[in-house]
Amino acid sequence: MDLHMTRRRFLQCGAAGLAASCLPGPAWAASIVAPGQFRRGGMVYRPLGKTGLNVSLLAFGSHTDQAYKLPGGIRNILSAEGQARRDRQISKAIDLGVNLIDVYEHEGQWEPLAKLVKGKRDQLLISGAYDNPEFIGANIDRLARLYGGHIDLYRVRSETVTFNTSSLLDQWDIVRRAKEAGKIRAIGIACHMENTMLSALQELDGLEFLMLPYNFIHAKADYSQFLPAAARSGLGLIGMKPLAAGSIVGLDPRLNAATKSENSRFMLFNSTPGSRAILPAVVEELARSLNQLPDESLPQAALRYVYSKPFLSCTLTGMFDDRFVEDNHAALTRYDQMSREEHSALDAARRLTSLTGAGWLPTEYQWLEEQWRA
Amino acid sequence: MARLKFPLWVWVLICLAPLPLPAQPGQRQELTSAGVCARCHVSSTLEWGISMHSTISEGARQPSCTGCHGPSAGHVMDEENGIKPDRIPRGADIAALCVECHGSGCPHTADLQNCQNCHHPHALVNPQLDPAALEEHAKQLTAQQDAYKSQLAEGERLALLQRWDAAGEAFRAALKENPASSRAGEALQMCERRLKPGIPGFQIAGDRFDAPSGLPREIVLEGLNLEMMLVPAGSFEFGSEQHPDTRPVHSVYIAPFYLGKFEMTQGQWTSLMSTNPSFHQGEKFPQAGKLPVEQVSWEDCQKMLAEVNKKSPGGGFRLPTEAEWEYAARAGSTEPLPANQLLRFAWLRDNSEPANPVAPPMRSSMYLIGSGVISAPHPVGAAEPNQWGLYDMLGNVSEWCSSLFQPYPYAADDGREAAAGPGMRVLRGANFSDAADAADAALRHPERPDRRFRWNGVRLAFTPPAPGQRATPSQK
Repeated sequence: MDLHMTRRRFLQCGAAGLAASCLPGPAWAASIVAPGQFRRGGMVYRPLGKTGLNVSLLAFGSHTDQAYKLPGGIRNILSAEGQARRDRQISKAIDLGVNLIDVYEHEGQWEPLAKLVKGKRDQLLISGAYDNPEFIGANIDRLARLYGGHIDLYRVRSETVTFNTSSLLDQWDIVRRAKEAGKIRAIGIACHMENTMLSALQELDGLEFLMLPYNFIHAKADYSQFLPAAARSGLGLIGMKPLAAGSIVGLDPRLNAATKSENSRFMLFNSTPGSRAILPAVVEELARSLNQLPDESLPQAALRYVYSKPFLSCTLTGMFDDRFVEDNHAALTRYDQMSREEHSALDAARRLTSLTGAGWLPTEYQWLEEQWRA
Repeated sequence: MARLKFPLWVWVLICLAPLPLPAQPGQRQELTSAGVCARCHVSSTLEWGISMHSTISEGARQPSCTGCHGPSAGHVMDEENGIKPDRIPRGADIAALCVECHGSGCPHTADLQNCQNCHHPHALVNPQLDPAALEEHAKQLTAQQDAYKSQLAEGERLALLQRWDAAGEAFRAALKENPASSRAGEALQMCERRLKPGIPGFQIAGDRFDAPSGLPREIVLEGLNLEMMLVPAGSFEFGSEQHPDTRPVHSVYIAPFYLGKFEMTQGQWTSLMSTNPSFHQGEKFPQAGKLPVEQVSWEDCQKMLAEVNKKSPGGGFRLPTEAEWEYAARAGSTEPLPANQLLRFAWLRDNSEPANPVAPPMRSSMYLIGSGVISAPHPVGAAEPNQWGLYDMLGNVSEWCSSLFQPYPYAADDGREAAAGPGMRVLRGANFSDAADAADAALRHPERPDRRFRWNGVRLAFTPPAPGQRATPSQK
């Protein structure tokens, strides 16, 4: 062995050796699919674009359980029981390696989460967004004060086709200034239309991440112009609605009736009066496919579809039940390529939903079908 | 450079070696003056240390490493020496640098192109002279230097007595002995200015003058009623270690210039451009004429500058560079203002609720922030001025600078002050919608030159003309 080497070679070998010593074992080497991805414990982490932040592939969404909200009042507050449930679920997720927690202002979770994560703030990434754009600056300041001087991810949101409107650019300017002042670590945008995304790449200076809807049914971005452009600019991508706002949970007949999704008002398998007519042949095909997955639910396969996309840094999903937290995490532990059976099940579910139009989604999420059906 | 190959244990030892120690008391002055260059180029630094160049400390004109070789930021950062310094002058290129200061050429031969033939490029001594001739040459130089110092001291004594004519003569005599002396040159300019203090197109306000430059402290542009304060010459520590875009902190020299006492108002903009682009105007803002103009882009400001330069004799109006802006905002202070004092000097979100507040549209889930009112700018000059008499530097509206947004270290001649060219331009200063922690004189905000926001405004800068000259826009 030649022990004479250049300084560069020495540093390269040293860095490689150091990195190798940090990995749990060679078994994971074959699992790495996204550049910079690594696994610690049962959780997979990926770099969020060029931000220098590593985010857990499974992230905790901001929506809270409607069933536990206090009636009336102007704030969107959970009951004591609902808050205790949510705190328990977040704690469980953190224990399982989730390091990104989203807190949307509307959900009234800023203070409870700040209290919950006190003492482990430096291990977590907190992602926030505002409710009223007129107060975006004050909103960022309040978040930063609550979370130890800074918020990790902050986003503006857009419902418009293009970003070239003065109001949105105003908001972006305020967010950029807050980042320059050290109150935010990474700035981004949440948007639901591809035109907006392309526009954001053109118009938003300093854009670091983008949140987009993405699930196995609404995966239009797979063949859009946007993904190559995003890759060129080193943008971090976060998938939202990996379970179509919970509606995918309702497609799996085997799930325990007690397991309640975010939006489970439309169950394809309940022929309740007023609901859309079930299409027996297609439903049967889905049921047959799912029988080929004895230890995996349809939502788990749906999540694994999203996890398998290397261009996504992580996926944000609402979790209202301890079991969802465990199931969503469990889908990560089997990190082989997706099987043929899983693809068959997803294809059957895709066919079923296409035959029912947008009706399998709750009214407020039917735009997903219009904008994002692949 | 050839790659070095050493046995593995040598590299390990190198890695384990302690980091370089900071400069120690008693360290040779030239090593300190040469800064980071001295870490590798020790012999060149020591050569430079025996030259007269290393003893000159007159503001920005010290002929140091970067003076001839450029800032060479890439070279400094590249430990493998793959990136060369910005300039490695050889032959006649060396002489071209010499004549930048020694414009009349060699005092013996008047040669302008062959300095390097007799003078070592760093040490300056002529290695070809025999010892006796060298000693004779040294005697001549010493006598010349003594005469220069004597005339300079006499000039300064007379200047203290405000005998500007006689002081000017003494400085002229000093310049004859040492034509490259910027100190004598600037003192002579000062005397000439004190003899004829007026600036074409301006009225002098008050009777205070800046001692080193002889320029009036405060002037008013006739016609536009634009009040400007003199920002005195000096060096300061530019930047801050607090933010990624403001590192590294480095020393920058600023020549004297005038800066608007106030941000440009909507009234002033309208009288120049016949339009008012500001968001905050109309019935809800009866004092709009005194509010700072806002919603102007960098490109709009260039059009305005062209207009004001056309209307004022000699022109000379421009935007401040970002270095000038920060120097003026700091006003000689090295520490930021304490939070409890800041609101006396700056209109920020916490103290910028308008007189006739407009409540924003409410949403059922909205959290009320403070009083729930959207902030707005205030009439210029309503808060307290800083130490140099400049108002609203840290608040009210952010202000456009001339500079392109480029990484530090700052060098005015590295292209970032180009009047045209692609890239973002720098905005400085917090505004009425910012929190107090954004009121940091060092913070930089890049923006596209065509973007307009309701919190971005402008403050004019003006380059004073040399004595006996009219201002020109290109002067700096």
